[in-house]
Amino acid sequence: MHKLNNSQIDIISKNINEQNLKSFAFSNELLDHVCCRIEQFMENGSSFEDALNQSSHLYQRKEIRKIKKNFTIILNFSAFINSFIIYVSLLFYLGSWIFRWGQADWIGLVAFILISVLLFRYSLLFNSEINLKFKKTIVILSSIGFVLFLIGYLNRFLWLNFAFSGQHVMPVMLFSWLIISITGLIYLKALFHKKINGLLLWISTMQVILACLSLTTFIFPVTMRYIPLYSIIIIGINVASFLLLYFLKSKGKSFLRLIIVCSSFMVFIYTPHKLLSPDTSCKIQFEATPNEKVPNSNP
Amino acid sequence: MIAKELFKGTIRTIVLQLLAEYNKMYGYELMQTIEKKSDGKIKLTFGSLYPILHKLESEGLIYSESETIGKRVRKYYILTEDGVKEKENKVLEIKEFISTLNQLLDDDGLIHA
Repeated sequence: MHKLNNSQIDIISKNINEQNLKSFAFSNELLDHVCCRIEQFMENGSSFEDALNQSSHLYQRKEIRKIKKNFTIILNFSAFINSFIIYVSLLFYLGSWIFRWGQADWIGLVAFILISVLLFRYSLLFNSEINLKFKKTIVILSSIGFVLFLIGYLNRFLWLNFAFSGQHVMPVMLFSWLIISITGLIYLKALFHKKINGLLLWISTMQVILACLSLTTFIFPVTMRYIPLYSIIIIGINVASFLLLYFLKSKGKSFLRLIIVCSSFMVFIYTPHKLLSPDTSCKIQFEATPNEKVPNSNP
Repeated sequence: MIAKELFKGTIRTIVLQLLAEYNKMYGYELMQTIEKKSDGKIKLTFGSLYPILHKLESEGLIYSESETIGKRVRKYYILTEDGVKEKENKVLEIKEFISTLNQLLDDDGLIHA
């Protein structure tokens, strides 16, 4: 078999690099692939120049674009579906706020069901992963998170629309946030062992801290007065985390994105219901409808 | 040439089978072997084979070893234990599918092999 020398490899490498492949993670393999192809042509009697010309179509910009697309579809199809569900649910949630000002309406219910489906999908995905450390723990925790999240919102929906008891709605939902965020942290640990990306670790840890912070409002009622401040902090951190994840290229980020969306959903339904009363203690204020169906009570 | 749509879902299994057969292979070698073994009826491209190799690697079914050859790096792919199990299951599954397909098409008189 004919072997290319270093200067010939340099020429091929230069030609490939001219196609601006900075973001192409497989350029090393492409180089070896093109080299093999050229060697094969040369084996059959072609000169290096002829072989180079005959193989040039392999790394043309148009071809690379096609290859990149193929890589995205095959490697990230699942992530694409997950992101799609997240954005659709965000749209529904936004719609719910725009048209009904955050009331537990059907549009909001669809958004929460979509996110619940995604949580369930992640439980299944974790379960199907081979060689995933702490797999059982991750699957169990994500399943519990999914069940609590769904029950919490369904309960809220029934509470505000059909006068069901809603005493445990928010604790259940916030607890599901805590469980899901802990799952995220364990999942990162399982994925990267000791070399967790600092940013991913920060985002994931922040979610656990914020979930704990929200839960303190139930354990220590005096902290209720800080709910508006908490909400601003949570939303600020969530927006920053969401944007940072957008620019980060790493495995595990789509699950973190889901956790952020879950927590944002919860904050947006939690905060408007808790307004500071003049005596600085906190009371729940239900939907601003003239005929409130549910009596005033602390969760 | 066999239409891409027909063998699309089987490339993973073919790759696993070849890696089980040859122990370790690199991308170009896999492509050439598939083409040769299928008498040129199955031709893969860089864009159709390499994403599958990376996907199999991310699923823990194969792992890679890099080797520097002059100024280029070659990545060899090797089956993991899970990959061996997966290969056995998938090959059985495909064989069963082919026999069902034969049965179905034979009954209609469409295959006269």
